[in-house]
Parts: sequence; structure tokens; C-alpha cells
Amino acid sequence: MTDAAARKGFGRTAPLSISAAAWRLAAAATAVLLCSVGVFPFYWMFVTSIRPSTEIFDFPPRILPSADSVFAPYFSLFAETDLAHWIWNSTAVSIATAFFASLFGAMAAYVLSRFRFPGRESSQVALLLTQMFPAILLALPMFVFLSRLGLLNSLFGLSLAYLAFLIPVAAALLKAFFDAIPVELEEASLIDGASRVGTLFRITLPLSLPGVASTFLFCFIISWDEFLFARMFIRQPDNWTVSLGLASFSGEFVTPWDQVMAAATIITLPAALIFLMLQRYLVRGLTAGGVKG
Amino acid sequence: MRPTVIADKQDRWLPAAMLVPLLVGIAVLVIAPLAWGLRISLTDSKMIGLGFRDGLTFKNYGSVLTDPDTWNAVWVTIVFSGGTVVGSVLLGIAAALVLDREFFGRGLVRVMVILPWAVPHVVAALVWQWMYNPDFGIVNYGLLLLPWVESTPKWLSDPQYALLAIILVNVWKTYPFAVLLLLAGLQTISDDLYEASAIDGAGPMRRFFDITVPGLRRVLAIVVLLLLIWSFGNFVFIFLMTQGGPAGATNALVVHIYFEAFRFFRAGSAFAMGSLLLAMSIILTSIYIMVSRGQEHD
Repeated sequence: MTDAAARKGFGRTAPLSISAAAWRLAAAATAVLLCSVGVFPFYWMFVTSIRPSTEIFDFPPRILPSADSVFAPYFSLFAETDLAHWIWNSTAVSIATAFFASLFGAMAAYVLSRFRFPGRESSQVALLLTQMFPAILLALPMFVFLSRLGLLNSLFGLSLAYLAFLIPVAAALLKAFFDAIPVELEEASLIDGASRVGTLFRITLPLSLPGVASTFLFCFIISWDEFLFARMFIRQPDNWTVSLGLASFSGEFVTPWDQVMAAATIITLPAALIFLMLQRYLVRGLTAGGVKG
Repeated sequence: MRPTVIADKQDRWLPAAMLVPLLVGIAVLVIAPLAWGLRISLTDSKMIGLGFRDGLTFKNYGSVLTDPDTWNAVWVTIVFSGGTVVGSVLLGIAAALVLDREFFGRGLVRVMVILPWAVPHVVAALVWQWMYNPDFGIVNYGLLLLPWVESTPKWLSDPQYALLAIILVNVWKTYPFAVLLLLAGLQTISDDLYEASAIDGAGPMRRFFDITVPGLRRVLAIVVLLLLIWSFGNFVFIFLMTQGGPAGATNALVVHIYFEAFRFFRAGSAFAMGSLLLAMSIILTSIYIMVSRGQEHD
């Protein structure tokens, strides 16, 4: 960010007047407030997870972590619940889904980016359109399809359903990346006698590797986060994903909040790390394609 | 982007072949389900997934459209989405204005502001459920610290507060998106405009309404529409935090449809309500496409 941008509000061009100082103070206060609102639930999640279970229901609650913090929930979770199994299921589903979404999405994106053909414009509108429907509209009929195909309760069926909205998302994302690669590079390769496929693999894909990687990760966290499809299609605890496993804690007669928050912390970590890594691409990703909440 | 001109022999069949997975995917996984859903909405199908008596009937539409529960669900959906948009946009503008200026630690503040967006939906639902706990929750504790607060609401189990509570969670989760988009929008507004206006003696408020707001109009339209569309389809928060209750206070269309199909086994009318939701989202999506395409051609 340059000086010019810093001048936008008030500031370096004008001497610091009282009203400018007041505005700065207000801005600083807003920043502090927003940060605390953003971070506090995370803090509270973690603090609750390490609080001794005898102190969880203390009121007034203690804001700081307890002196005898315990990390026992992090171990008992793995011993007493199927968390490890759910994590494994989610990882498998998310990787498979992200892989095929990126692969098929890349193929379509390349064609949409490089070739002109009748119906190209409308197919791009269709891409956008397909991602905007509330997920439940697809989920109900898919439930019927999957049950006919015997794919209910199957992680394969779940991945298939995820591809419905992730292929278009991946295609829209990757098209933007391909658009940014100069056509001239490919033309040079074609003139040198390489085939189109050869050019794609030797020139275009290596150059767009960051784009492909971020698309993959983007699809990964969406699958990791997804709840509605999983809830509808997967009923056997054996095949639960992390979302389902975590949700199953709530609604029990007494919610073991320390364990729930420990599990929540574990599940949040990979998603949050990937999210922060992808920050720069997020806006493009989300405006390129809607994401089902 | 200029299209490639030098054609390889493979160009005759390759593009079409490469589009196949996408097209098949959309046909089988999107269009077919939507069409099938419409079909079922015209039958007396009960248990979802089981067979139904053949023949067409508009009975479902009649009963769905005259059922006050449906209109309650539509109303809840509108309030939920509208509330989310208002909250997210206001917070988003405030945060974007702050982050648009240079200051020490801006990168860190930016990350902290975006953080809520990074948390999985189920996690957010559970953490807030715990924070809203009427007896031991930190939210009510915080409220009681305020000198003028004497009693605290039971948040998720009080029909008066439940929807508000869930809107707040949704705002918390979605406003980072508004921030990022508005921030990008702010950076497209030329600094010259601000300088000229400052020379003319315009105060900060004046500059905000005369330059910032008009400059952000397009971005704002996109933020509003996307947030509306996503909130329309939001299932997790309501399903996990209130199950549509208490007394239908948070029974948004999506949740209503889910229960209609899976709790009351009225697949036909569930799908009929789905068509209602479909119509609402098609309208919003068309506006969104018009706005976002319009921007590209500017």
C-alpha cells in the first residue's frame, strides 16, 4: 500500500486537526473491536477445551485459562470417540473430491479460456447459475438417485454429490488462472511441433500450478466443511465425516463441552490454516462460484 | 483474452472431449436432480426415495401455498437473509474503511478480521451455542456486566431472540467476505477524487457519502446479492442451533423443507416448497449475473 492510499482518509497531507485525531481514534477503536469479535470465539473454544470439567459450568465464567488447565480431552477424544475415524473419512472424501473437481474443472476451464465456440458465453452463465442454487434443492432429489443406485451411506456417493457443485467452482476459478497465461507461449510450443495435449502438460499446467494448487485446496476445505449433504446421505456412524461427528455431540443429554471444543479446535485447524493461506484467492473463488453454506 | 490462433490437429476433437466431464456433471448432478424435484413436486410422494403413484397433481402446490407455515418460513428466510446482509454490509464497510488505511500491524488486523470466515460452519454453530448458553454462557455474562442490564434472554430457546441470535452468528461468519470485497472496491476509487474534495473543504462524512458510497455501488450490489443467495441456502446454523424452533421462530425455508421430507415424510410438498425456493433463487441469481456481467464490460 502506498502513501497515496494512506492519504485517502485524512492524514499526512493535512496537519492533524482535532477532528482528524478523533477519527483516527474511532478507527483504532473499530479495529480493536472487530479483532476481538473475530478472535474471541476461537479463544473461548480453546479455553473451554482445556478447562477442567469441574470448572466449565462456573458462573461467572473465568475469562483466563484455568490454572490447572488440562489437555486430557485431546487424548480422551481419540480414545472415547471415533474422531480419528471421522478425520480419516473427511480427509479421504475431501482429497478425492478436490482431485477430481480440479482435474475436470481444469479441462473445462482450459477450453473455455482458449477456444471460441458457439454457446461459450451461455455456458459460462450456466456455470455460474448451477452454483447458486441452495444446496437443499439438489440434495433432496440426489438423495433419491443415490438411494436407487445403492450409494447412500457411501463416501463414494458423497464425493460424487460434492462434485456437483465443486466442478463448476473449480472450472470458474481455473479459467481466471488460465486467462492470465499468455497465449503466445502456447503458440510457440505448437509451432515447434508439440501437440495440444503436450503443450497443455508441458507449458500451461506447470505455469498455472499455483492456480491449480489453490483450487485444489479451496475444494478441499469446502468438502471438509460441508454438512447438509453429509447429514442427508450418510447415516451410519462408521462413515461419518468430521462435520457429522462434531454435530453428533450437540443434542446429547449433557453436552461434554470440553470434549466438543477440543474436537472443534482440532477440526478447525487444517481448515483455518488453508483458508489463511488462500486469503488472496478467496474473493475470486467465492465470486467466481457460489459456495453452499 | 485473445483466443489461440494456431490450431493443432487435436483441436478438432479435444476441446469438446475436455468439456465432457463438466457437461455430464452438470447434466447428471444438477439439471437432472432439479427436473426430478419438479416432477416429484407434482406427485403424492410420501417417503422420500420410495415410489409414488403416477399422475400429475397440483395438490401439493395448493396446500403448500395456503399453509401459514410456508409463509412463516418465507418470512423467516427473508428476515434472516435481510438481517445478515444489513449487519454484514455495515460491519464490512466499517472494517474495510479501517483496513484501507495504512497503520502499524495492519496485516495482523486483517487476518484477525477474516478469521471467522475460516472456521467450519459446524464449529461456529457449536461454539456460539456454547457462548449463548443461557445459564453459563459468556454472552450473557458479558451482558450482565453492563450496568443497565438486569435480566438476560435465553437466546436460542426464546422465540423473541432466537432468530436474532442466529442472524448475529451468520453476520459474524459472513462479514469478512464483505470486508475483502469492499476493500478491493475501495482500492479502485481514485485518490484524486478524495484530494480534490478535501481541497474543496469537504469533511470526512461528506467525502464518504459523495465519493466512497457511489464508488462502491457495484461492489455493494454484488456483496448484497451473494450474501442474500448464500443466506437463503444456509442450513447448518439453524439446523444445529435451534432446529427451526422455538415455535417456528427460526424455521427458514431450507430447514422447513428438510423436516417436511425427513421428519414428516411429505416428499411431494417438500419438493413443492423447493420449487418456491428455486424461484426465489433464480430471481436473485439472474440479478446477480446481470450486475456482475455488467461490471466486466465497463
